[in-house]
Amino acid sequence: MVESNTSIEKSSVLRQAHIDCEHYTLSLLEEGSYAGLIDESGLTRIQTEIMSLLKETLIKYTHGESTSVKSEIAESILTSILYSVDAQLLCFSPQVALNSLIMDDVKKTYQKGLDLITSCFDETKILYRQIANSKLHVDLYAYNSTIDEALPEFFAHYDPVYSAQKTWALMDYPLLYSDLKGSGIYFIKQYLESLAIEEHFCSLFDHEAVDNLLYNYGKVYRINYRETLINIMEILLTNSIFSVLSGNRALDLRITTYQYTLLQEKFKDLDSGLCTSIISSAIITLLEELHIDAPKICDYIKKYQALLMPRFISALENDNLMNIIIISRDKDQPLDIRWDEGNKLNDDDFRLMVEQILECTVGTDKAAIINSSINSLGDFIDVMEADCLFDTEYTDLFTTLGDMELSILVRIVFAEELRVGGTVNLRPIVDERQLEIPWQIEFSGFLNGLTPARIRAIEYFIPAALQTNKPSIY
Amino acid sequence: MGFLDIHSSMANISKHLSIDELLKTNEDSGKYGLLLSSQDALELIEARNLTIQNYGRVELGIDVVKSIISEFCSTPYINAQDYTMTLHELVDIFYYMKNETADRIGDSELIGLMKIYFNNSCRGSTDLLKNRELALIASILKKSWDYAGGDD
Repeated sequence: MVESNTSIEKSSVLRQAHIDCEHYTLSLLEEGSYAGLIDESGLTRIQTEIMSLLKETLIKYTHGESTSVKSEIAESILTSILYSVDAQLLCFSPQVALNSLIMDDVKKTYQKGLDLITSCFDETKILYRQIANSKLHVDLYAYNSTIDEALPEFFAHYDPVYSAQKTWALMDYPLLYSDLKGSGIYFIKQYLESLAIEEHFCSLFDHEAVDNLLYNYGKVYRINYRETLINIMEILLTNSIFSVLSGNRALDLRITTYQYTLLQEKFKDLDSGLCTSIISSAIITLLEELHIDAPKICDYIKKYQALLMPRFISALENDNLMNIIIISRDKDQPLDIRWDEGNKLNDDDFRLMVEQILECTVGTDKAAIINSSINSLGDFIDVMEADCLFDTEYTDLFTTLGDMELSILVRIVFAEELRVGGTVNLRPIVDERQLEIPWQIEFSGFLNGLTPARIRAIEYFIPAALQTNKPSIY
Repeated sequence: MGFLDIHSSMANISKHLSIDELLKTNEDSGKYGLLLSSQDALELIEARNLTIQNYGRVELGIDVVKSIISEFCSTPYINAQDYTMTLHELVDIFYYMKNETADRIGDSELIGLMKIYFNNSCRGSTDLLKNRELALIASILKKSWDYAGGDD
């Protein structure tokens, strides 16, 4: 039906667009009156019943000692009563709800609504406890204070009878989406339901990797991320998406400078439709890899694309994608090359270090000793040939190396192939070469276990390695 | 639509019912020669509505006015000529004191105190009642409240 301001005809059906869910009862009565579904006497009866309910509640509020209160208190209690009536009526369609208002005693509707609110409060409190018990270990003030202080404060003070509509809590931590509506316990419930999804998603990632990503995020934006109102899921989800597009696993939040460069190349000159399609596919891959199949969580994650795309396209156009894709730099990131040829250990110190390594039984500890003692490539190769590392202990050591250092080792192990082939396509070289020296065999196996993206990052540095460290120098 | 505007609801819904309720108080007060006409009752209700609105308060019903009539009709200091006027003043004093004491005195207790002072030290003066006796009580309460660092 087309409406016009001059129309005096009234419809006999409710105008859905004029029904306000946040003021359901009042808008139903207003629209019901407009549509001629409720007459003046009906309105007066409902008004009288609500006022009678208010009077009873005010007397309870003053413990029967006073029949009058300050206006703001009366208004707040009236809003609380309507919040309960709304809660019950919102279980029905507008038409059915209006009929209920016309036919039923408002007090009964109020009581049912109050019961719903009380039960919602209990459910929400249980949900809060679950969230608090599985809290993320992140050093983020807003997140921690929201869970440890603001929400307990809410549950301690929420009053469904006198102030059901109040939210009380000062929840600083922003959710991924700021589209929550309503007030009171229903608002808190929505907030916690979203927080539970976000917490679940974030908990899939290694917390050190999360810390590292947040640290790098802070570096990019030049902020103290610990005290900034940032959403953790947004940062993790974004990097996870682009990590997938870099060839990493979805759980790997690290995106190297090289991978970033490849991503820039990948998206350069693509129209926004194609960008959207690529990112959409990455999100599907991410969901599969993370084994996320609950529809609610899937929808929550997919919805993020609408938020991400305008920012991404804008960043792409302005050549500042690094504000979106956070490049990984370890907090205590070593120099690209930690080896300095002029800094070799003398024989005694070297022997002492080997003895220390042999006394040690844990591979990661052995790697730590080597990394803290050795500063030259020559010593590094010598220690790997000193029969003090066994089996997976080599992998423990290689894991501590950066892309540049690994590329130097590649240049040493596969020098001949690289020279003859004149190529830096590492995978076939590693697969074909038969090796005899134990550390080289282990190194080849280590390379085979790396993701294609990491291999590409190592390949990227091989020409530089040729310039920087010649195999002959050790 | 102002459907649930508390003040207009009070004024409109309860007016005709309240007049009847106030006229019923004549049964007791009549024993002391104090009677309200329908017009007096209407004016008293309208004055009460205006008073509580001015004091930023809400009351659904006229229980307080009825209690004041019930307590004060036997006082020797009110006669038929100034009955309505005195009721207007007592009603005003009552709501004024509710605010001044931040609702820390219950209705019955406050009306009881008003009656004691009115009949004794004030000898029927609503001016002394409000500005001397009750002002002192409000002041003492406020100081004790401030001292306790209280905040409702």
